[in-house]
Amino acid sequence: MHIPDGFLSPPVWGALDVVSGSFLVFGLRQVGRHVEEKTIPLMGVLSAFVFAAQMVNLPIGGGVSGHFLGGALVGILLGPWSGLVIMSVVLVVQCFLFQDGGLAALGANIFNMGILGSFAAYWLARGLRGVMRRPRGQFWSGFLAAWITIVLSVLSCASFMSESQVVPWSFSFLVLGGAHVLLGLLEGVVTGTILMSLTKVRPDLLNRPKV
Amino acid sequence: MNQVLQIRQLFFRYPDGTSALNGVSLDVSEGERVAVIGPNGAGKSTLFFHLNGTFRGQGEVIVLGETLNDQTIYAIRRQVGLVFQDPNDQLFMPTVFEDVAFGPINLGLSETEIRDRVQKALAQVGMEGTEALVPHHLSLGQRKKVALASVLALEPRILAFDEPSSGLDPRSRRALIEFFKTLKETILVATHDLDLVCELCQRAVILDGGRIVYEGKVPEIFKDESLLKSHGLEKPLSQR
Amino acid sequence: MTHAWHDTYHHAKTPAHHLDPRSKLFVGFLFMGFVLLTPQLTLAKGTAYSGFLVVVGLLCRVPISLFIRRVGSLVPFILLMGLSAWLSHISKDHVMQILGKAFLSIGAMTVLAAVVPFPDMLRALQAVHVPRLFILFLAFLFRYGAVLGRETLKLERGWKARYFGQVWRNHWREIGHILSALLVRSYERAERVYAAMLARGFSLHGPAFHVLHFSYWDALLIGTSSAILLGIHWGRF
Repeated sequence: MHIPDGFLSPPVWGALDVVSGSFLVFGLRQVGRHVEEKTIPLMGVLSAFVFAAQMVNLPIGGGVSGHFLGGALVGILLGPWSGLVIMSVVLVVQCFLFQDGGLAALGANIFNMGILGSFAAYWLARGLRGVMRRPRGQFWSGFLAAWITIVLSVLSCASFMSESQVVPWSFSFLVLGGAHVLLGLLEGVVTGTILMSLTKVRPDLLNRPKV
Repeated sequence: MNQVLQIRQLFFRYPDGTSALNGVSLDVSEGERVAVIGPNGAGKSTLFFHLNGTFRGQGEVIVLGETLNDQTIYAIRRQVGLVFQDPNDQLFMPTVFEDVAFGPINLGLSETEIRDRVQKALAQVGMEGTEALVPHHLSLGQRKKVALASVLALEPRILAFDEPSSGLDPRSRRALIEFFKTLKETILVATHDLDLVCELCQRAVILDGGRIVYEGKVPEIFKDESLLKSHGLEKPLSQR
Repeated sequence: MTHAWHDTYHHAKTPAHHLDPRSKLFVGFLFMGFVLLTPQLTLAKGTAYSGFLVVVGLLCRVPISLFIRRVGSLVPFILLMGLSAWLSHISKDHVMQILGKAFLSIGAMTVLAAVVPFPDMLRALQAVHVPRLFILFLAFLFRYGAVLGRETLKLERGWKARYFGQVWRNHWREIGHILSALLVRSYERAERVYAAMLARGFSLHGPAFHVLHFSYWDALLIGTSSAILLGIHWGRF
């Protein structure tokens, strides 16, 4: 889902760079203002965690493998603005060090995986947790939030590419959306499992202040 | 003799309720080398975190005549250099230079002074010329040296080492011991490496269950085998 | 691990590695800006841009194998586009435009990343007043990405040693457990790192240290590259 440069037209990437850049600046301000000092190294190390977790290849079947993205998880754990900042940090490093995702397309990638990724997941998980109050609800709310978020992110990615006239909308909607309805299950299961096991090992981590 | 460190009746409880220190009292004089030994989970690291106010328990910690409190904490942090067990925790900056310079920069020193201190500290541990390197390219032994340099750059008067020799090969361990002998600062070492204690320290305290259960001169403290055994320790090889 | 932690450039010593990172980044961004904003990338212009890139890449001794590996990340997008072009008749010219721009920009980023070590990039960002908080996060990711990557690998090995071919659904769960172990370790590590930062007098608004020096060589680099790039951009060919 890391869009490289060239696949988006200048108006699309330009607009998204402005939008995501503003979100990021505002997010950094929110974090700087509302987060305790000790959370600063935590957010740094968690961005390294997301980065490392994305390296683990998971077989999906038929020789295809996917990986965990992590945006939903950090959004749920630390709150939407912190999640956005963490994902942006990861995307900047991936773009710069590994050329995973383009430089001009950074705005688009931050929009899909950072802004949508952590905001949608945070609010979805919060809403769902309000309905699913049983202990297992932790798993299911995380699962659904991560799953839906992945599908939303990929649809937004598809819409950017069709807006850039790289692929027609109906086609990218079907192919990318369809593939990620399945891939999103992986994100859901992993996110849910992590949240569920945290309730057993370190429940305090789930109840930290969220920014 | 001049007491540089006094700990009086220190109690500490972790937020989750486990009590880690149950009334520790300890005096250390200037230039002394003291070993803190004891089983895993005895509270050694927790005790060390109190020396520079990272943890604040009940009781009194007096460093160089100043009682540790909100006013003195920053002055005391400069005087007590804590070297962590895992150098990966201590080296958090992208390059060796920036890491060693981190403390001096925060002291607000001038650019030339900062460069001076970094160079001196790296030379002291035998890591000159590594300024531009990235910590994850170094070996464990080298990372430990740089972690030590990052503390020495602050020129503290008391050094506290948490498990300095763990994970080192015999040659690096030997080099570390020889290096310790050249240090003039007051030194506290928390370790399981009792042979290192025999070579280096004048005095040892046994910490178990958050309490100092025994205190004595080295090597006499290692004569009583049943005492050692009851606190999860063993007679060092060099004393057999 | 799918990524090798690529920062082997420390061992390469070309004149480019001694330049100010700001000037290198400026030229790199200028190049990408020109390429991406060219409305119609003709064959001649595409060749000229690639020529510039190849010459710079050779001068800085960027291994070609690195570039080939990086291009790999384009494959899914090329497949997607190829498939849709085949189904819905997007013009061949349009496809070539996109591919040309994609290859040129990924090439430029590869060269840039190879000649600007990451710590240097952070210094450049500091010099242009990017918020200190963001730079700190980037520095932490650079430092601990490698550490946690290695830790993940160990956990994965530990898991594989006890894996006897169960079904995939359990597999995902187990990966979830591995990652949650890693997450808890990350939290604990962050606490120790914070302790280490405090021990050395950290404060977010503390003094900063600048080590960059802009030289005549940097001015020369910016001058000639800008002239060449402008020449290609405005040139009638």
